Amino acid sequence: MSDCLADSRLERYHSGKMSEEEIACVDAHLKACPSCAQRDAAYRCEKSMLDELRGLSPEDIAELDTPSPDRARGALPEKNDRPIESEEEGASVNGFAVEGYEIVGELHRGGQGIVYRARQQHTRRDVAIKILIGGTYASSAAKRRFEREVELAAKLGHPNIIAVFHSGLTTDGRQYCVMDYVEGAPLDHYIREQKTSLEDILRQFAKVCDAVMYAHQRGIIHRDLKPSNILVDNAGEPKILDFGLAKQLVGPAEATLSMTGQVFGTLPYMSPEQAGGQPDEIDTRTDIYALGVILYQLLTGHYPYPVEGQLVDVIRHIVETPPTPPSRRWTSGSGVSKRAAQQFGSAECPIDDEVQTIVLKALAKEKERRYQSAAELARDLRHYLAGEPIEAKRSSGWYVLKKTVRKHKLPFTMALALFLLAVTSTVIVSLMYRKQTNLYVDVKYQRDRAVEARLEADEERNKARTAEARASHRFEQVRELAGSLIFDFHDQIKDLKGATPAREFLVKKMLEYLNSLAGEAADDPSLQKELAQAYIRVGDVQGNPFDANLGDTDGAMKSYRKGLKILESLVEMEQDTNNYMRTLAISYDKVGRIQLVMGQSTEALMNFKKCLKLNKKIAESIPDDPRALRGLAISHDRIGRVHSAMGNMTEALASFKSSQETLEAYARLKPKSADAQRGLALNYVMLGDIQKGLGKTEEALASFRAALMINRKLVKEFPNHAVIQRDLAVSYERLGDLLGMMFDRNEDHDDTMSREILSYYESCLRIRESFVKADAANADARRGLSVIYNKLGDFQAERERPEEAKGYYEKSFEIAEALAHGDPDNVNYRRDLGLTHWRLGCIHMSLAQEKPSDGQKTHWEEARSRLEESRNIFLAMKSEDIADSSDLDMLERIAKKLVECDAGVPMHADSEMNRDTEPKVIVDNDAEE
Amino acid sequence: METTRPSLLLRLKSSNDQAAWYEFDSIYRPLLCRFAKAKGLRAEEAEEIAQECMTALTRYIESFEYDPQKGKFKAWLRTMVNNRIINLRRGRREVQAETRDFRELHQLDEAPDELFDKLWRQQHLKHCLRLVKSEVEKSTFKVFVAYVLEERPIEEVCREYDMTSNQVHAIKSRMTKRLSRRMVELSGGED
Repeated sequence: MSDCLADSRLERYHSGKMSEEEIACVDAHLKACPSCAQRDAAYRCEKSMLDELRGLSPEDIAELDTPSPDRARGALPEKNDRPIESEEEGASVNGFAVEGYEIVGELHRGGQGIVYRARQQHTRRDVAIKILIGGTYASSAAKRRFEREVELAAKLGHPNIIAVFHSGLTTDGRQYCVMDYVEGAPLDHYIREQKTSLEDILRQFAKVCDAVMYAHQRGIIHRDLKPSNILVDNAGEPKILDFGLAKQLVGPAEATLSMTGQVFGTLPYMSPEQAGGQPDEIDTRTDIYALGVILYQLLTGHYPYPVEGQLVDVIRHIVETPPTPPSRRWTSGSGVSKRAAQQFGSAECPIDDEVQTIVLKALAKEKERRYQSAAELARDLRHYLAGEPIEAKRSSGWYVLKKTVRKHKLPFTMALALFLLAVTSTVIVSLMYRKQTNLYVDVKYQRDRAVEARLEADEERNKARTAEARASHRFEQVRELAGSLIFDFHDQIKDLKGATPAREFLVKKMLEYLNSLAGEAADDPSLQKELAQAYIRVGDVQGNPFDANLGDTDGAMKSYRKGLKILESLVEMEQDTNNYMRTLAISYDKVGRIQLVMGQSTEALMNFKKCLKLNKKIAESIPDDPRALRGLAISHDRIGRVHSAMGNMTEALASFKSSQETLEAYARLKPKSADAQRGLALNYVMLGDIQKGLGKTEEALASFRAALMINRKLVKEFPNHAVIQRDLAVSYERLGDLLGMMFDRNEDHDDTMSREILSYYESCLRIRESFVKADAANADARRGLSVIYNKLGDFQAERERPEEAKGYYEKSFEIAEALAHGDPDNVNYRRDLGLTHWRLGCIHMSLAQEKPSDGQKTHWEEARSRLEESRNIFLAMKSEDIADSSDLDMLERIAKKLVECDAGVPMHADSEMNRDTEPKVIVDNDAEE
Repeated sequence: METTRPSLLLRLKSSNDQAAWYEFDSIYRPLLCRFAKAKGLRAEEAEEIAQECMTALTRYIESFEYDPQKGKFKAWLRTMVNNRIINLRRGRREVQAETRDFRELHQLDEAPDELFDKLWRQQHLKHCLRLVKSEVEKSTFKVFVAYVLEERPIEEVCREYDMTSNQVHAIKSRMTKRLSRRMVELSGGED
């Protein structure tokens, strides 16, 4: 065993200038010494960073001279303890300040945040301020929870706990906590440096346990106990840091899942329930486990089980691997670290059975087997120190057995990794097996023919067939297991918060699995089909916008393409089977829909057309098959929609007419199907829209009326069905709109028509009001209601009933404003709001003109301010480049209205600036009146 | 790793922090430009795409909630720029049809992610290098460049800057630490 590595030695180790002997020596040391191993890992990181730096071009380096944005704000000084520029109200470092404190220097940077040393200004007390990383992005609920925790933790008054006594937000909005500043060393360093005896370690440790107990009694779990969170001050008193903070900072295991699966942070001190991703299982006994790991480490210089390497392995060790008994660290070859040996001043193991029992009890994988409280642990330590019998007993044989059985109940992270590995390899092995069996059959068969022992041959052949059947059966089973397992797992975890890393891992594994299967599946059509479907599912997980996805659109398209390609070749190979055609058709349809969402209309159209072609083939090959007809109708419908969206109205009309015919045939085959009827109604509406757009008003009217008729019938049949109610509302609205348009065009204004329009709109209104009543949070329902209010308002406005119109507009405005406020990024809501302002502006102008004597100025003023609000909204959209041509038209119309409005209001004609002052004048006038 | 420093994104969101914008722009605009150019676009096209993305970014920032799991600013940006490049090419395809030029572009599509990741990392490194440069003496930085980046022999560096080899080593180690600290800070502070 060697001494700890100096920096220069570490550098030489990586420089390749070391002799092999020396390398072996360093290797051995790195294996034995976690702290050097950590330094080595850090060195590797830095080295790769420098390598990358060298990859920058000389121009890159030269470019550095362009002024840096940070330069102006000053950077941290090299030395930690030198005061930094301080402002009156607080200290400022890197652009933030904490009110009432003066930052003196930086103490520590870690995964949770940066700790600064600071001085409280009015008391001159030394404090440590921890600026939390992620402090600002916490949701308000999380923030409240955090504040409550800090409040609780602030009440801790124990000599061995450094309590947080204040928390708040920095000037740049990050959360911080203030705590006492303690000069001291982390527990493990302290013990190493002081060469503390075993007894002293245990005595110190019992104090730590007392402090943990004290906090537990007050309902606070630490969750992140580790040596660096336990400082020993100059008087030799241990002090625990960060009580009440960890919950916010140390999430479930994935919080430490970073970089390339390397292990960081505090994973080694995590309990099985933490590492295994069971946050609900965390309780006070989680802290007991961490105490066990710390004690183990203090006594041996090792972790209880390997904690290096791949994350999954480490988690497995934490969840599964029993700790190596501490005494064995002293006797076995791997040996206790030299540090620990030096520590106790002898090569003889100071750890007897009883200490070992205590440590191992704290480290029990099952919470129930651990010490149930920190007090129990402290008590046993003190019993031992006093030479009294301890309470912990070693595991009985029965318990060990039970434990083995329980071990199979693994948490999902683990199970996932293990199962995938196991299953994937089994499938491949079994594929190989099947191939070999085939070979075996061939060889046997030929040999038998040569010998011409027919009877024997038959027997052999039967045997071989049985073997083949068995192999193939086994293969099917395994394949099914693998496929469903991967996907089932994914579906199980997809809604879990924080499951993304696991899902990404899964996708990777799925693709590996599929690619390896693809190589083996070339001659097996059913396997190929499955493979194709699996690729498409993986694509969904990667980036199907209709489902919870990982946002990897490129990857998704790649997977989809792979799936489609396999299916295409299958269809080409076996023209007669509709089986593959159907799957392929469905897949084309899906990919098309996704492309549509992504704005790739041309590609989408192409896939829909391919889908249509297949569906036609299918429908022709099986006449009067409802499923085939339905698929065909959907294809027509999709194509119609894309054409309509692209403005190809004539093509769209043709498509919707085709789908109408198909749907009618479908409805004839399934006369009782509500689905068929609904499809017909929806199609009538689409058809009507297109006809209206093409100016075929009468045809459109017929279509809408047909839709209304079907929907009325359906509503009678299913009175409580929201979807059908919604459809009905839509057909009322469409009819109202169309008739309104026809009414405007007619020279003689027909009262019957007018009444019909009103009754349609009011029917629509009643349905939509009931929707909002039933589900007040539903934004779509609210928006629909706001739209119909506007239409009723327009209706009244055109019939010169501005008061009624205003009433509807105001109701609409209330909704539009709330929606836009709730979702400020939504262009539709913004546009709605702009248009509602516009309507109100116009109606106030009518009111102003109509009643010149009554509150005239208020109407003018209201009109102007509404129009301006409207203009501001559209202007903002324009400046953000999200305004479409109709929005730009609106801007022009608003400008014209504003001019009209100005003509109505007596004011200084030219001045933009006067507008700001004007309301005041008017308010004053009003007040005088 | 490589989640973007939350404070920078949040500074952009929370206020009209011009300095933050400047800093942000100085990292991501060149990144987008380089990426677009590497994918075969002309310089002015690349700049236009970068501009479009930066505009889209201003909207994205508003809705941005930092979440270390989901908050994949990088993934978002990559998708964004890729989509725009694809759109631009589609427009171009109508004009150029199947020219050789276009087929080559297609081949470049093979590994967009690695390329983006590499540039992402480089750009961040460069940014950190700039920050660190502003924090230290000019000569310190020069020594660092000469010894570490240009890998000139230590004797030569010592002679040129009149330093002992220990001093040069100390500069290397101190600068490396600073840099990696900045990188950690920029990448979301995970140790």
